Amino acid sequence: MWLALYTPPSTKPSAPTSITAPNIIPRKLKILSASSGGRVAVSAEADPIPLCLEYATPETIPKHVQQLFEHYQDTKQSNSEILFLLIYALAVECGFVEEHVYREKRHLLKPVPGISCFHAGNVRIATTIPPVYTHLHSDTVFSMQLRTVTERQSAEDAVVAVLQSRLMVVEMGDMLMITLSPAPPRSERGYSVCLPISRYVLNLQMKNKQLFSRFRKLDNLSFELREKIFYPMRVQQLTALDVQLQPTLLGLPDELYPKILKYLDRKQLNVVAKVNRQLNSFSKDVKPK
Amino acid sequence: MDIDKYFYGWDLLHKTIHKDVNKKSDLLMALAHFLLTKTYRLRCIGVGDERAFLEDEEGSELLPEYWNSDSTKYALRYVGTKDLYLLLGHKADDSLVINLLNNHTKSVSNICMEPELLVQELNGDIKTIMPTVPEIVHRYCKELFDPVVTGKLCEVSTQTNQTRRLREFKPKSVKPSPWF
Repeated sequence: MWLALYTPPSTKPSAPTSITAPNIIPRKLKILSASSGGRVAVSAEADPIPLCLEYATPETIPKHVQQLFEHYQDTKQSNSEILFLLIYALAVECGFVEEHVYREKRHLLKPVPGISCFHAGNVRIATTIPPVYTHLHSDTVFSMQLRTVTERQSAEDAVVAVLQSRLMVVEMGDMLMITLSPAPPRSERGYSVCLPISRYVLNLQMKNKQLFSRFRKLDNLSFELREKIFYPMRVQQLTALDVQLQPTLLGLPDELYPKILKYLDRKQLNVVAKVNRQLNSFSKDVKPK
Repeated sequence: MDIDKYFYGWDLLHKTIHKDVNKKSDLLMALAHFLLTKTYRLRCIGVGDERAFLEDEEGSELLPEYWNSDSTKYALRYVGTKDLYLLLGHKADDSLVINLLNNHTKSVSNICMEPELLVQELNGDIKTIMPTVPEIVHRYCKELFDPVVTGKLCEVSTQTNQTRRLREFKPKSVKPSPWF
């Protein structure tokens, strides 16, 4: 019976946890009993501090979310504003950073490859300063500009224009309408979803209890926003920049191909050359064994 | 697309609103209203974003009073066959983000437009006001209206008849075999 023992990730912020979807939460598995039939009963001790919002509970909240809300400790906020900040925290987990925060912390942010979006170090750095956003219409409309963090931090205008987007959140009674649009003049589509506020932020008047005890169903919030807004937008932007989104033989750095192909003989090189234009050009530069 | 035929009725709508129109984004919202009432056959029942409505409210093809009184926000309510739709516009910096919400299914679509770039004049016929109007209409239909207004298809086509030959990929060594 195969049993995997996971070890929690190192706490150094520089170690990138580049996983395609941070739902593979490391847990310490405790073997309770092992029968001869091959079945093993295990109990999972949940990590004391979850990595991302999807695994948060009313008692434990990820460090970056705690950090984010610390900036607003002294101000009283409406439920819709609190939910807006939760949405921003999720955006940060998906590789989006508010524009001003990006400009301040650009030198500290690590590149994020196209095959993933969550970088634990970047997420913590991005929440050390509060994001800049505008409130309109007596706090029913919140708007902020986001920048996507990718593996190439280019300063070219054309690349920057692709990676910018606007997050707009409109309160409509008990619902929140969330829209993420590419920055104009791009004419690609935007993504939007409507979510009820009270499903995620309860209206409890709890003295001496933390704000986080009012949050519910954060896994559902995480799912809705990732699937309908943040992942599609990130994929759209990276596709426009020709960044590899899947780990593939064609996504390797160029200098690696001669080192791999030098082990092939003439016949095998011919086969590689017939695959596609990219491998064709690489195989022509290699001397067969 | 035959602009004269497709935009029949626009001049009449524009005449009713041209005294109120004071910014370029007004015209983009008016165009959205025109398309919703003409092509999608919805009727406008007023301003605001209340999601409760009485089923027997009768709508109009005209834009209601005070539809553009707020300089940064638009909210119009439309009724289709027993469904309420909300057309919301919010200005953010130089762009206008328009959302269409189907109140029953809670599905929402969005589009981001730049009024300064797309609208040339505030008065005149449709081609003077928005020279690229076929593209604008195509984007409105594809991104904003079709995903939300269920069962209603956009009757406009901005492309000329093109015959496309789709080449099916068949690997040479594999012979097609029946499914059973």
